[in-house]
Amino acid sequence: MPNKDSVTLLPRRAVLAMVPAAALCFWFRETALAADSVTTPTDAFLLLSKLLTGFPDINPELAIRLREALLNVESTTSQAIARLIGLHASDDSTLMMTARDAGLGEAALAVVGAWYTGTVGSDAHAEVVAYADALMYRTVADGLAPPTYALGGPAWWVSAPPPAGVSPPMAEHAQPGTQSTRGVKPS
Amino acid sequence: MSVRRFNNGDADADLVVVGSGVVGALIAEQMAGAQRSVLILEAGPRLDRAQVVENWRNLNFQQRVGSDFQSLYPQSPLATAPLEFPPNGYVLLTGKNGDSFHQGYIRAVGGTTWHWAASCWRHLPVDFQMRAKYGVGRDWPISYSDLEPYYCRAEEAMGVSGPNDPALQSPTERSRPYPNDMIPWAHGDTRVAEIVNPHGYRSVPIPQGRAVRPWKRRPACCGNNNCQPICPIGAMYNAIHTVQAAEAKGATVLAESVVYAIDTDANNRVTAVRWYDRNRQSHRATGRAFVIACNALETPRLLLMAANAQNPSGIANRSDQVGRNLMDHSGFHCTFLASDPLWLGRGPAQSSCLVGSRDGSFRSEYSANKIILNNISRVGPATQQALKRGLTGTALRDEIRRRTIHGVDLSISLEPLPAPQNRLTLSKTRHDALGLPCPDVNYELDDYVHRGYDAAAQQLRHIGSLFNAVEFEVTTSLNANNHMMGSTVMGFDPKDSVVDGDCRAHDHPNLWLPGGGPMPSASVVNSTLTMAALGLKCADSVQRALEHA
Repeated sequence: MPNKDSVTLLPRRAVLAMVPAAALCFWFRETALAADSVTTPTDAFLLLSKLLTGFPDINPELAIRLREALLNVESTTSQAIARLIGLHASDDSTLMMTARDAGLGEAALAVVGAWYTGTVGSDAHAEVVAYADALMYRTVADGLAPPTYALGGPAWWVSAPPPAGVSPPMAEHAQPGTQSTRGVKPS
Repeated sequence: MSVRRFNNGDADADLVVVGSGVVGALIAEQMAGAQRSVLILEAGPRLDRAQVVENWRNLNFQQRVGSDFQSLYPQSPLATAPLEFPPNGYVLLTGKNGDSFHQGYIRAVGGTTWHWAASCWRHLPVDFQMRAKYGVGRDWPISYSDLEPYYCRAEEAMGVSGPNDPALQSPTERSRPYPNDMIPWAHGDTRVAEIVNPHGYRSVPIPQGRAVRPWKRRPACCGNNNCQPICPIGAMYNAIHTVQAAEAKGATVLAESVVYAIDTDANNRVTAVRWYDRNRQSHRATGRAFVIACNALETPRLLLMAANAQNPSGIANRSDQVGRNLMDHSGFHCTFLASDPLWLGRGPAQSSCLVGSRDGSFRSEYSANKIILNNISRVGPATQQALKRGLTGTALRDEIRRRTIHGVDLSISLEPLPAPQNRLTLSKTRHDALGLPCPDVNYELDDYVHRGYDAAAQQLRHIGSLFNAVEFEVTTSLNANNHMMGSTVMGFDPKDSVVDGDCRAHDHPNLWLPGGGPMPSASVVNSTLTMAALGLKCADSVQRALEHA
């Protein structure tokens, strides 16, 4: 079975695509306002994560485990996350600007990276919290399943892929190479 | 016929096979089917597919995006295999291009086809005559037409799906159709072929060991896009299927049994091999015929460490060629973002390949190439790149989606020539847990490969322009492809080769060394189908020898 998110994402993406940008801003403002009334650090982390990841419906159980893993990896993160939660912003870019001004930019990106990759930390200190539930897979769940899962039976892949839904890559996306040749690349 | 087991753990069989990968397993299955008693000794453990799948899902993101295809496979503490995350240093690499020889292979029942992509290419007829036709490398003592019937049998045994339209075949010389027609292409394969084929790059379907219908005991491929490092449903051929078939026919498999010595008689016939069990107890397996099919690193390692009074430089090594002529397809990658969304990652890991430069008169001067359109989902690299840009929220979501659906990764293979200095030797200082010497490898590539790289890079720049490529990059350091070949090289002359055209050792009439080791030329295509075909040719030779014994 594909993870449950990949099954439900298609209609959700379609719905999101139809929502005017102004309404999304309103929704995010509501989220941030809601943060005033939350009491537990877990709830606060969940709201922070919703804002930073761009996914309003992230898994609360995963939030608990990701937060625990983030706090385990290094002690300084704990404080940084607590301070992040205290910041008020109506959207992710404002939050990031405020976070960077407060020296919390890296901590905020660590939270984002944890949600998107499912892994907290790196190398020997890495802790894997999620595989199929990592948010990176939800960005393309209408056309690609997380590897090891499938979107259908034999030869499902001959059907046309879904619409792109994003603008094509532009030259200004250029950045230095990131691909390592160190790993083993059998074929 | 059953293997005889003795109270002290020793055994006796008509045929003793060392190594349970695709080559050893195919031979064992044939001989067990011919009513011979067959013992397979495998250094590594038995694996449980579901556990390996879970191990993969539980590797961290860095390992998965870095293609760590080794760590998910449990190893026996007494039979180390290479690890790179972090490096375990099992194989010491030296020489100018040692760093391009980080081979990943599995020591377990079923061998390295647990994590291959199941590409089942044949060599071209001309690949058997590199010296005669192009004046470089070595010629085989057998021709394509000698091996062709065995290619057919190997394709049947592995349930290969390939193009039955000759216009899409490479090579076209075939006596039988593929067991299954080509794996149907996804949008990405089709679109890339449409764009590059008018320019002569010749994108064709990759013949592959899976089918979109059930095949023998395997389910139909459901495009789980995880062929490497583990097919979660067993639709992809791996040698465990053949091991199980051999066992059903009566073969005995002993896992975690590390062969370390080879006994010979006055006529230099092999009389027994000796192995350590998981409790480090030594046992002896006597037999009439012996096959060593461990892979092109572990086989020469065993032959060298098994040197005895009669064979002081190693078993089968009077020519001094054991361990030499090591080859692997020198690899590099080209990545870019195409202006069209190609949606790579739908279906199996590799389905199309550009073979326009597989052959040509240029091969007298520089390496041929093949360019695989990798079809492994780009979501991991896309996420890595997007996160590095410090994005959040919907901008991050969109950037990952953009990079995933427009992202292209081409995997290019070059052909090295066999060279005696590219060599495996035994370490004098490093030993495994049993105290057996670890392998040292010296590896240097000459200008034949480097000129081939330059020619391929020029083609890639043109291909990039056809896709209006953004962030076009070609890696400059070469990577390994796990296609080890050459180290027990095949030839007519016992003075400069290790085995004959049946993979039988020149020095020992009842010892065969089939697999990648005997291959005198690498071509640019994945070596497994040729190894399997050589294994089946070897099996016929073993069968004839036992009948005449």
